[in-house]
Amino acid sequence: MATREAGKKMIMLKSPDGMEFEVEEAVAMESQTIRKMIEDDCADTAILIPNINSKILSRVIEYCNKHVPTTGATGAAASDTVAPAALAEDLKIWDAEFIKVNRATRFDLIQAASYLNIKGLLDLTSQTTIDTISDNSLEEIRSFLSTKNDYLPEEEQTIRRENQWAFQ
Amino acid sequence: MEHTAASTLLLPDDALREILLRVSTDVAALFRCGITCKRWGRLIADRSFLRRCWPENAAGSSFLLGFFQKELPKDQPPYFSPILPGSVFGSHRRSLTTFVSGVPAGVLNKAIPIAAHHGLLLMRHMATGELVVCDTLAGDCVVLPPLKCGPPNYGFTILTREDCCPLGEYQGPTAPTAFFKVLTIAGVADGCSLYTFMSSETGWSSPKQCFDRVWARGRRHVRILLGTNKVVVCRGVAHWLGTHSADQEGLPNYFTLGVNAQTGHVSIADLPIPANQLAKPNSSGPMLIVDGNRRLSLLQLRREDLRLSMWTRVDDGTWLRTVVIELKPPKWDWHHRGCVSMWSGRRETLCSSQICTGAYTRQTPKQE
Repeated sequence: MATREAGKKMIMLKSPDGMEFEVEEAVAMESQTIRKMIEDDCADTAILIPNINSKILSRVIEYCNKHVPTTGATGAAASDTVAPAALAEDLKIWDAEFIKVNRATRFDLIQAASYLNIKGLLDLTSQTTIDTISDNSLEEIRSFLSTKNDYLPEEEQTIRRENQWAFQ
Repeated sequence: MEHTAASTLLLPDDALREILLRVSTDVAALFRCGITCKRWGRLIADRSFLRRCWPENAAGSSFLLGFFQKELPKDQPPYFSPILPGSVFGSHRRSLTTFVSGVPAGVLNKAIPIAAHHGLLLMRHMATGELVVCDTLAGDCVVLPPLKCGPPNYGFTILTREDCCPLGEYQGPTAPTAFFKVLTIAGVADGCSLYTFMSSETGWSSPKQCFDRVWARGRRHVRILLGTNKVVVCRGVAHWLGTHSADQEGLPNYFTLGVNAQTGHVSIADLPIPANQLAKPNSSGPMLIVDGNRRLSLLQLRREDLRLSMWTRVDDGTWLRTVVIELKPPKWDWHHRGCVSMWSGRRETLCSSQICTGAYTRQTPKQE
């Protein structure tokens, strides 16, 4: 079992580059992946988070800290006096600021959010990415997401000709 | 500063799927993503991914995009009413003329939609009987030569390259209007005849007898039911619904007449559904449809108790009753005039869409 202190359980998260982060269990459980580990009693000592370096992991923890529901003992002081709507608005502004990162970092965050299964963070990072896809042409999508076009020119022509609805 | 190595090539499939999932509200954008590179195409075309985008039974998961409707008294082309926002055809009511170009002026003003399949829509001029095939996806149209065969009827159906050629066999141009067939059945004194128009030829084929003399012997009052909901294309075969009865007052026995899209071979099969379970052959009586698993099905709505029943032909040729639904009574009186649905499910089309055409004056509530 994880260590139990007065009301607050702490969890140790470890990144592959050797950094350790001590976070409240409630914060760590924003990640469905970690929640499952804790619920299955697999979180004895530190949890190693593979593939996510310390820089990204610290940002993910920062996000979870902000988004953990403020109930009970944790962070009660601030939220008691603030209306829920204002709180949501505040979170939105915070999110918008949080996601002002370069593309590489955003892709890393998507990957981390996907692995750790943090729905809010996944929505935020993915939505920011697709906002740039929706109204763009094929070439713009390709260049923006740096995908490599491996269709033969004839293949692409055929698909385009037969599916003009998607290119209007 | 943008990192030079920032590329989705480095993202694992799981993460990429999450991004693409959020694009699925815009079908056209998702399609464009699908052809940015083969890996994305593979991820999007994956069945389980598509099911995640459009879960079964979820609100708005239907492939039904909307209806083409014609307000009969008005001299206006039919218009398309989408039922889903953000479909490939946009989210607002729009005239058919915004889909296609090159139609001779005024032809569509008095035309009604009579058949639709794989994105092709067949229109018929109410006064002159002129037929026009519109490709709603590519935006072209073809005017067919007049068909001289007795009184007008609505036993038309349209077949595309996908129906007529096994995958990979077709070598010609690939635009949908470059290859299609229009089939219709017309009743004459001594039986019913099948007429075929092929896009590669200039005129209609000579009529072909539908009923084999041996089969017709002993069966009386044999007829093919005419109406846009009495004919459907399923797995390369066009099926019409017909009835025969032993005497004038007796219950009608239903049968299906199938025409192979590739060979034109005609086959007839009696429907093994007890006659007392089926309604009279009128416009809201039994109709042919294709179910979600591309199986030939018979649908009927009983007006008295609003009970919707469906029988489906399973693989060994037997028919099973698969659906019974009690519909809620509509708020207003409605007149069902028939409806034809079509798949736009080409091989490369990642996101199939179904379009219904018809002359609904009012839609039935809720249930399709």
